[in-house]
Amino acid sequence: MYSTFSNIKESFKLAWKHKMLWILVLVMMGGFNFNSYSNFSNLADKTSDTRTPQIKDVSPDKFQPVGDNYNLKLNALEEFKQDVKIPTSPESAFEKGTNEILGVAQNRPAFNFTALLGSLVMVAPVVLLVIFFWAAISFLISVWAKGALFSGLIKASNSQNYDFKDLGSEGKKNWKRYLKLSIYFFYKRLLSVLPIFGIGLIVVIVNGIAPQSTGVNVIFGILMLTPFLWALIYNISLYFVEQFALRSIIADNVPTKATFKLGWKYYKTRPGKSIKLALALILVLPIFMLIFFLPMGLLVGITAFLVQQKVSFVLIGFMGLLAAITGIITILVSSPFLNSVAYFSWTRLFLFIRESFDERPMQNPVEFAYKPEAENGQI
Amino acid sequence: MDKYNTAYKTAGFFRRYFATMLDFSINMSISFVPFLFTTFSVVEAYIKSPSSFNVISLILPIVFLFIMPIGIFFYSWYFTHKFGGTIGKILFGLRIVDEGGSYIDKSTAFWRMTAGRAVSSSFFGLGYFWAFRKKEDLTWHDRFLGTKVLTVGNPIWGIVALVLLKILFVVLSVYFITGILPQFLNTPPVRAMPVLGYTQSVF
Repeated sequence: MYSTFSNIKESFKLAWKHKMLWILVLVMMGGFNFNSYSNFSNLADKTSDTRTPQIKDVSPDKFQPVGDNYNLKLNALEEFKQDVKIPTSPESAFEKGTNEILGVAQNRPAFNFTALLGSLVMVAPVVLLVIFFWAAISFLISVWAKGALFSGLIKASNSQNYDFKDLGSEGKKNWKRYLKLSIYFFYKRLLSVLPIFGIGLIVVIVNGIAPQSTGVNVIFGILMLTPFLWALIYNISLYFVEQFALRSIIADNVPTKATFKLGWKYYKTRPGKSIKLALALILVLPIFMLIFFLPMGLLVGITAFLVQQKVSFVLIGFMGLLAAITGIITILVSSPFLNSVAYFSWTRLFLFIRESFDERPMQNPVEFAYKPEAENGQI
Repeated sequence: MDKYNTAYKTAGFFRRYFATMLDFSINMSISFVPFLFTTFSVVEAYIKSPSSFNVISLILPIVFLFIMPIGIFFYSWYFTHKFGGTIGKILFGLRIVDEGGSYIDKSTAFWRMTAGRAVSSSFFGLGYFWAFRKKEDLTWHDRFLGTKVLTVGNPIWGIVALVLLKILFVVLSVYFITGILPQFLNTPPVRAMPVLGYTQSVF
């Protein structure tokens, strides 16, 4: 008998047993690129935040003399004023044509803006094309990994044997279908948010034409809320549908659009179980993640304590290194493992719902537009 | 000849590693090294005569930096399919074949280069070290894509090429340090600027 608790419990066992699938989970996640973009973004934010204006907030009467803080000659500033001309000052740029600070020819470079614009026009598409090329390659890799992973998940859940080569072959065989399905879901999600942008555009146009009215804006706000809520609910439903559709490609062997329809069908059959599983995973997985990171947290705490106690640098460095190594190992193990648990949970729910149908989709080729395996990838 | 019988042995980890090193050196010498030289020549031209600097001269370094890796990608794909390996592998007497002993098809070559490498690179490259695990010398990308690397010849040409390229890199590095860098360091030293008072807050 299916229950969400037993499903998750069994999924933990399966995920631990089938470590081969962790590789594919990691590839789907993007290898070692653990949210590096966000890290860089955060770094950029921090940099910009911590750049404190030094001149703006300090009144001139609070300045200290330079000589008080630095071991400078008393007349150093005067010498500096005499010897050095500010490079951006007009007399420095035009008087002699040389810059005494850098000691190189400093004729103001006469940039040819037409040439600059021309080269930008030439270079920008090249750079964009190159970015697009590598993005497409990494997308194809993730699509291949999907084909291999979901095949492995279904085989593992059904206690079937498989090896590296079976998974690789499934990835090669099904990548086109997963590619189409990804594009199809992207298209559906895009369509769902279009009404919000549409109403937003109307608000901008109305405010541009007529004088601004609070009443009209409130009405438009309420109007915008409706498609927003609809898009939210639709996208949440679409997440569940996607979970079933991704597995249906392998299990039911139907074309892309039929997979999407089947996904809806599976979801509508047992929506409560899907929502329950999603909520349970949201609750359970972070708890396990915290448990996994407990050793690293303890080591970080000990390191911080040692820093506070001002013990020897070697000891602090050793503890810090130990914490870092533990952290890396924890990430490498916990991320694919917990993701595998989630994937297995959805796969088991999918198989349970699928089995509950009296008439299997495979047995009704007309309704589900079944095509033989040889035509995989063709809509 | 594009069929290899079972008489050939699978290649060991170290031979494959050095073949990869040779490929890496070849790729660097046709992409990154020209990029460095063209970039420095552009910067040098700008320092010598900023007014006559032509922005279009930046295109060549950009091409070397961005386009060459894509070219290398397609070259590797084609060579792996057509000749059973890239130049580094061929010079080390290695051939990539499928389970039937034939050169791998285009599709397998593509996935081996992309998804296969991604698979082996995960877990800090554990998939490459998997070649140590059994006598088959198979990495994860070999196992996933059903390929194997056979030793079909002598690695002497590969070793010679690798040594020559390493010597070339050392010579270029010495030339860069002794010939090009001084041009940038040759400028008069920047005079130390006293820290202005208005940047120092009393807080």
